[in-house]
Amino acid sequence: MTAISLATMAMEYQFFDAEASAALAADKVFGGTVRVKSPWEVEPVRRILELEHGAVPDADVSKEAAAIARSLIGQLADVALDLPQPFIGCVPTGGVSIECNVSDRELTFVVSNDAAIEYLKAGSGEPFEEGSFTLHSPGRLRELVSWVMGRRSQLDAAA
Amino acid sequence: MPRPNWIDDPSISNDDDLWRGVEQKDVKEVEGKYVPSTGSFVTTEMSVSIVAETTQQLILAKGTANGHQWRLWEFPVVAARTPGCLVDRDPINAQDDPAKNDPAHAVVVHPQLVTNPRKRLTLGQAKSMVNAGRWADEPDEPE
Repeated sequence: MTAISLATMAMEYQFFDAEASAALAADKVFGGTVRVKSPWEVEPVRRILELEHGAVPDADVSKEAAAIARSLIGQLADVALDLPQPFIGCVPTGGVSIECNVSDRELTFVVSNDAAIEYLKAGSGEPFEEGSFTLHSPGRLRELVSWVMGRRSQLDAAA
Repeated sequence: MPRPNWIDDPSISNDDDLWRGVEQKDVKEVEGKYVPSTGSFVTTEMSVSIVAETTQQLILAKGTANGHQWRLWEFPVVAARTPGCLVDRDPINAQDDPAKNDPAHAVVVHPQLVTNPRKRLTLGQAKSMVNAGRWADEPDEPE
């Protein structure tokens, strides 16, 4: 169960930890306030919080990985608010997956529980490119986002 | 139990298909189609089942016995081997619950897992298997 409100620039959240509820037969509520800079960030950040706090069965997301993933969402919002909202998932070996799909291109970041960040550029008919990524490198992030948004720009121009 | 001696089993053909159980939380919508998330395939020993040696019913029952509600993503072995993965047999003979048995069980691993027990599949390898697949419960799309 999730309740979130976006009031001014603060996102308040609370939800029940399903596993804790099952174990303790009690509804343990996690809650708090996370600051976000735009409404675009609310859903991705809410999902990261759910993964971090065990609201999703089998999710293994460390506090550190969740914090980095939230920061990365904020940086994506800084670069391109017209980017479709990413899919937020968990990684079986532990961590968060942030997957941005635009047309036939995909830009994925995986933030592992050991705080490492990897990215993948995968486009139809293009060779995959993958490597490590460092937070707070806006130039590189802008390059990656421009690439994934490029196909949409081409389609918009052709229309 | 992790095994250090994975090989690329030549008895598994490139033309064989594999099933990977995917939970709803790992499914995303892309351009109106539902596909597994790339990150959900990033693991050290990716469990799969060899399609020709089992049935959907058995694999779905195995998932249920282990507490999972799966859809099965079907992709060819070549989609794992082309980006460098090993595909090896790993039959499961569960003593506690026959429903957990899976003689057709296999794993897809990164070749460096043999020397580095933490080496997981790369995002590119994961994406290759996602791109080449389809849901087992959906008919083939017309060419």
